[in-house]
Amino acid sequence: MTRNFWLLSSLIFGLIFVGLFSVNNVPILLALPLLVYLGFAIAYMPPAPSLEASRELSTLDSSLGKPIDVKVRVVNESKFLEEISLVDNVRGSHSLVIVKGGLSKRLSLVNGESADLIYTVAGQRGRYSFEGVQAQISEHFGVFQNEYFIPARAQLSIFPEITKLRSIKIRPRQTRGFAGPILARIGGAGTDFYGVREYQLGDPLRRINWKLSSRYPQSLFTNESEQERIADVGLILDARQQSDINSKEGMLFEHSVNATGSLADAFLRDGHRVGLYIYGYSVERIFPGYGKIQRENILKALSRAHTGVNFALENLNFLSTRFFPPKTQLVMVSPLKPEDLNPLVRLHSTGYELLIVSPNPIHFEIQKYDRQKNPELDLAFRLAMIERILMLRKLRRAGIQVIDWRVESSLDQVVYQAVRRHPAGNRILQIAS
Amino acid sequence: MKITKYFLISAFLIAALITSFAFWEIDSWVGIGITLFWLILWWVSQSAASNFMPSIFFVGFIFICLVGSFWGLRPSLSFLGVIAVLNAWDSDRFYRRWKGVENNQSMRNIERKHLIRILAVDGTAVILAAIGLSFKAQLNFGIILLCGFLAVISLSRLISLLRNHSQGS
Repeated sequence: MTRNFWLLSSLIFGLIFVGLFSVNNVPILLALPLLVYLGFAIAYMPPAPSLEASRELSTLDSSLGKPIDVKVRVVNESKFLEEISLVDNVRGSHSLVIVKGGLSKRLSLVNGESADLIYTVAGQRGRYSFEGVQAQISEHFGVFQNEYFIPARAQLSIFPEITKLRSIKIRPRQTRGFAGPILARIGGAGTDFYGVREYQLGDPLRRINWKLSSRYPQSLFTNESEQERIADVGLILDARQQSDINSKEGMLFEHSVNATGSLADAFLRDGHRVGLYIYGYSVERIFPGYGKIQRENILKALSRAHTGVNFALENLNFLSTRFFPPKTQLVMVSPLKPEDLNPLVRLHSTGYELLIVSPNPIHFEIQKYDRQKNPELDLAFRLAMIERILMLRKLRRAGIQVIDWRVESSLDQVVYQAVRRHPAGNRILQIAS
Repeated sequence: MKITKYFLISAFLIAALITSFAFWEIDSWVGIGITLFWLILWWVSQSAASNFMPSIFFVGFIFICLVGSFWGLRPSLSFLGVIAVLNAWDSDRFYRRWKGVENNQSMRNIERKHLIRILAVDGTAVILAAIGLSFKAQLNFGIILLCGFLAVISLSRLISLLRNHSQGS
């Protein structure tokens, strides 16, 4: 029953009472059309409907900005419904934009007839739940109105923006047993020269180092190549709200998510076993795995990642390393906070090779302000930059590879140049220098 | 939504004309002024997004007719005014509900069905009023009290029945 029903009832009651108590037939006469109107509404009261809904999405996993077609079909399996209003329900972390069509429709439905809600959406990274259709059924006077929920569930993931990165040269302390692109620090079949050892039965003749063997008449020596293998890569995404920055350009976290997705894509393309660990509002883990399915799993996890406050996880002291196999290559994407220095050094000292891709929060935040107008701001910016440079230097001295990334520049360029300039094999030399 | 729009305009005009004429008959210029002012205000509020508006003006107009009946308005004219304003209220709400819908053949059919039903309400109300006015009954206070009591009971029973029905569905 709607407000209109109560309004009509009150008016009818009121007019009849005024007529009875004033012994005047006119108010009762005035109530008559309203009474007839209400009578007609009762006679055509909407029946209990039997509605079925189904939903079709052009894709369940999409990328940023790509349009997705949604079609919801509602079938009426009951009597004639004079007026039915259908509204589709969408829930998500970020808003979806309706590109074409509409989420609602009003129409009449006869028995067996169906109504289609067709629209196109596009949206930002996120996970969106389509729950079902809200149906409002009424007669033509709108006096009686019943609401129903018709479930038609579907989930849509909009993946982060992936930049195709060139192969990243990592040097973990331990590799896995399968062939891959990483030099494993073990002699065997490969392409790069590794060393010379004494000839063993079965070595191919073309591998014999004849020059060296000629100096030792009693023995033969064989050239040995360095084995190339795949590695375990653990991606860690910093989702702590304290380390995120909001500016007119958006959230710094979005850049971190995109970078994590791009890195996962690059490592999986190289054949590595990649796992993901999102640290912030809670701990979300994707166990290490290979290939396209793992890529999909990681991107799905990234699509629903968001920042949040969890006082138990406000610093990196509680970063669980047990999730990753020992001596794994860890790649952390974090803007870094000054208090993260010690936990990261400790993490590195436990045997993990650590590469940090750090979106620069100071450069990101300064875009909000006009530095020319405010000289104090410029000074503050420079001081903050000095503090950050010092922190990054300390991390590098501890043997951690750090990539300082200004988000306006290409991640591919930055990573490629940093990895080329700073080959992990020279780590000890750099520390010594 | 052309048919409904025209019907709505006609209902407004008829309500304004009939009620103003009824007030003019009793030389109540105040009544004419209030009636016209109220209907113009209703017309102006058409663009307002709030769905309360038609109901507020509808109740106001019924109140004007009720007060007018005590000032001596001709009952048949008040009755016709109420019918016209009921049509306006219903059409206004119908128009607001269906405003954004594409104007195709099925929409025109819905409009036509709605229009037929509201005209059926008008016809039934006129016939019942004609029958009712042709009777003359002398009732004493006890019978009036009994009628009132029965009206209260029957309407409250009806409301609870409808409420159960809508909850059950």
